[in-house]
Amino acid sequence: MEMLIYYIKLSCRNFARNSLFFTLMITTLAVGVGVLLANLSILKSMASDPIPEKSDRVFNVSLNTWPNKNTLHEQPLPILRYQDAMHLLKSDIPTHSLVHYASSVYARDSESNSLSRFSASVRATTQGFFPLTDAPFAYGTAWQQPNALELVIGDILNQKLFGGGNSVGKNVEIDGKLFLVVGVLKPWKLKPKFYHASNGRAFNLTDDIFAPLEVALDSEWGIGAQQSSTVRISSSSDTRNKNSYYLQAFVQLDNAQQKASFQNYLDSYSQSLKDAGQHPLDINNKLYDVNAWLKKNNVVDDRMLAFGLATVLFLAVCIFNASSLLIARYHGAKFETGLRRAVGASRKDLFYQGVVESLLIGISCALLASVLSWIFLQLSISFFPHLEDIAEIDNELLLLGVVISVSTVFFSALYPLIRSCTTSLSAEIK
Amino acid sequence: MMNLKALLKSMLLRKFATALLLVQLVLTLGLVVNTVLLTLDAREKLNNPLGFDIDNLIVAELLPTSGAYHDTSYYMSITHQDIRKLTALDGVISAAYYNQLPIQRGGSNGNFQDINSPEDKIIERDLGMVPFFYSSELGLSNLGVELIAGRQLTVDDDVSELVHKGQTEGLEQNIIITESLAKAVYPDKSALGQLTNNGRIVGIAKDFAVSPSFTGRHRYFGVFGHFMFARASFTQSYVIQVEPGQMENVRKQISATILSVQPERDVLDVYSMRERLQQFYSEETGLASLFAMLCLLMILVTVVSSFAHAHFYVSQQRKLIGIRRALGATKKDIMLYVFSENWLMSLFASLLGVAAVVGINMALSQVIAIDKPDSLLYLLAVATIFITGTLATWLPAYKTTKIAPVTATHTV
Amino acid sequence: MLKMNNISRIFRSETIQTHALRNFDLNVSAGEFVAVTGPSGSGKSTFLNVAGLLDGFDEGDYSLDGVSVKGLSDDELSRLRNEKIGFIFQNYNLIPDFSIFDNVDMPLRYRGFNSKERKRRIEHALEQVGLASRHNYLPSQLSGGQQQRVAIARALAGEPKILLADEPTGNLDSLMARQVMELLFSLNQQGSTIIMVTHDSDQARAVNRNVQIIDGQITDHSIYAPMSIPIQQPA
Repeated sequence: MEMLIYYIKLSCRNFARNSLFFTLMITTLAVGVGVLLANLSILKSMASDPIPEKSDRVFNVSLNTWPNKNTLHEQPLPILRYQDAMHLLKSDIPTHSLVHYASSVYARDSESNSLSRFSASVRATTQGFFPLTDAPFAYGTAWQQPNALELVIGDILNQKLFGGGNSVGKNVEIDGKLFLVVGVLKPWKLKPKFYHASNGRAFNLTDDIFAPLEVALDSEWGIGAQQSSTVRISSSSDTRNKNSYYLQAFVQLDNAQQKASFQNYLDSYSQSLKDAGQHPLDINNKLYDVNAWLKKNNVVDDRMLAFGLATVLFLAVCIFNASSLLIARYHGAKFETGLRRAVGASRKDLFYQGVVESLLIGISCALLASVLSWIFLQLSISFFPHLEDIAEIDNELLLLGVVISVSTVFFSALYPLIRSCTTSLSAEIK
Repeated sequence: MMNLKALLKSMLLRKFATALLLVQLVLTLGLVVNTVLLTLDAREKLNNPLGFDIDNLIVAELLPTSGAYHDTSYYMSITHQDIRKLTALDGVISAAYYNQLPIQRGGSNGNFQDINSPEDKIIERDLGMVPFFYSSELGLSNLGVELIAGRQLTVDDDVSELVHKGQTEGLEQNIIITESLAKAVYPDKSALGQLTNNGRIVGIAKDFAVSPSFTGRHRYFGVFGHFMFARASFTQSYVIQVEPGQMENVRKQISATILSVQPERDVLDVYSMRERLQQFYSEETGLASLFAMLCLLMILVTVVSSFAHAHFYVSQQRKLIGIRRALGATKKDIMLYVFSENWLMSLFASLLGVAAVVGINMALSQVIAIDKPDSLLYLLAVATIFITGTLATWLPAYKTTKIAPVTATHTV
Repeated sequence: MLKMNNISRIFRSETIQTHALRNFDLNVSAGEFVAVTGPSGSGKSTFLNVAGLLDGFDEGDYSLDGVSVKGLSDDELSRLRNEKIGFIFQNYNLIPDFSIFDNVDMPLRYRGFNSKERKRRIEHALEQVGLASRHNYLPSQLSGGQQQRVAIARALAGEPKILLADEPTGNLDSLMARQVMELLFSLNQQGSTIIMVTHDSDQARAVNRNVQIIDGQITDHSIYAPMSIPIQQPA
């Protein structure tokens, strides 16, 4: 213990004596680690499992029901017709199932004196959405009737419209129509937003309004994501009986048997359509679990991956730099090393002292790196505005930063230190 | 000339430090070259001719916030008023509404073929996703796109009323298509006057980059019809063509002008067409900037290393340098000695650097699109390394001149 | 106390072998003050390095205070250096930004004494060399002679069995040199065993035993009359 304090004292003295040198070394390493951390924070969010407790039991449903051979999409299609979606929902095989489409509306508190409206992203969906996605309710519940003029709202909109709190029972006015709030969600981060990972929306915030699908269609809320039709569609409600593909579907299948029978359910549906001459394509229906679905949608940005590669190289250069600085440092300290050896310090003593010094450098480096990683993250966001909601530096990453910093310092110090401890003594002092 | 052998020998003696610096230089070279490739690529994309004049175009995007806009005729009448008022602004040449804008990746599109194509004919992929533009009779001229055959659309070609009333049965709208699209669908004859699944071709427009990210002919595919989409839940775009130099002046007034017609709209954004282009390539330029930042940092770190290396070298060789001085070497000789070590290092690095450049390029091309490195770029990067290395060595080299010949007689 | 038997130390380069010490025998008893002289390149420094356990040897036996050092690990050698040997260098080798106190403290740290014991020993050692009041001075604030006395205090603080001095007065003017020599004599009188490398023949003559090294071998064992009181065993 006493020795440790002595080593710390010696290290501090070394820092003071070679401040330029240590500043250079700590800064370059911290920059290297900071850049890597910033990049990792982005990649980590991108590559994370949004719903780890059941990501292997929740499946995207992609069907093949395109009515002619002129299909320009990759089959099976992840977007479904209204009639296909309804057929899925009819099945009682899945534990939960949902279909949805994305829309947006302008909403206001019906009691408010102000006429100003807030733009709100809408998920027009079915009741199964909530238990399937484990959406966290703060107050209330989902709607109970598919045609009820009722909404569940997200935390952000709840803050904007009602100033937060329990807003169940209040009314939201959209396009002149009143909707009753029956549920309010807690702040809900879902990264990536697996239920809408396509169209580059995997990192959009969770929605402001969750509304019954039928109500959204009846209210003619526009379809704000990929929609493919073989005929002209005049309005949202017009899609119910036309060949317009736009609904996404997810099901929860808790075991292999459930999955097999649901796959069978889908295939026999496709087959029946084919038999009726409603589509000419091969039977090709897929169930992608959450992670497979995210992978299929290229949720991890290749650019960030490429940059990640570069940041690793950069960190390597920083380590090499620190290493060569340390060689110079130990070379400069040859006299003192020799002297200490002469008065009875063993190689081990000197090695431990070097390790303590490296640890101290590593910790300072980690501190600086955390600050720098935040700055680099902001820089990355300024270059890639769409990353804004993706990346954050959490405790886990900070810990990782400390580990990386300390270990990089240690690795850069290892060779110079060993060399310094093992050089023969007699030549150094006179 | 320096004694090369002595230099090599002294570098070998410090093989660890030398190898470290060498690896750094090599990696830096590799990153610099590839960064410049990315940057050049992003620049090239931004500067590629688009085939229409983007410098005098302003875009406004808006969404109605009130349910009244679900009434199509109300929506249409407000839109016409908007356009009239915008056109009346000082400095404005023309204005028009659009369902979508050029410089896009996917939007509203559909298949496009001759009306008589057999039902079961498989459509070529790029003809299955042709962007449809719904605008007024000014749609093309407002963008500055010229007509090369046929006629412009006129008010009489407007099918909005009919479509919104649902009278689409037997409706034959007149359309203008781009030259590339015309050639793609009618390779052997004039497209003018032909009837397609989307209407009759009455005009052919000069190609312009509707979808700049495509490299094939479908980069230029586009169909223009006279129609107002008028759907309350979809973003409406106005494009305003201004007189040269009037951009800023007009831009300031757009939001207020629109809201003065009817306030229950959310003007989402007002921007210039050039900004749209920049935004379109923002990921490419963003990545290039990110790499450039890293590259700069890497050069800085390498400068620090070169400095430290030379510094270490000089302090290690104080006595030797003193002896050289005592034996009659001038200060200049000694400086040259220190520099030549750095230059020799850069020379080795530039040889090994080829491998790093190619290696990093290959690794990057696994994940993103990147051009192959060329030798001119490489020479440029090598020059950078030489110059920064020399600069970094300057101070330690200069310090050697302070080493007095008498050092030779001191004990170390 | 120090027993070297047939010691050889050979330096090898690619083309040449140099016998820095060859068949070297030396026996130093407790309480002796031995001066080692010899022309430069004779092996004086090598002898001192081997004696001080800073360098190994190729043949022969060496035992220090009854401990044979052959085949000892670095840890054990370091421990021996720390406990049994005190070094005094020509260049003093003080750490310039350590205070006098911290300089003397250095060997004690590696001994693992607690702070109270270290303080006692440092104060005692500084008292012995007559610098008790200068704890917080930096080496640069002292004269060369004072600096060398600090270095001697550092050597003494560990209460070593033997002091090894390498040209301790080589960098000092004659007045300061005399003071340092007087200090060494008085330490010897108090029982310290001292081996001193010097090329000052006056100094060499002044001590009770004189050893000359030429070409790595002991050539002369001439013993001069001791200037000081006969040998006492240390307590």
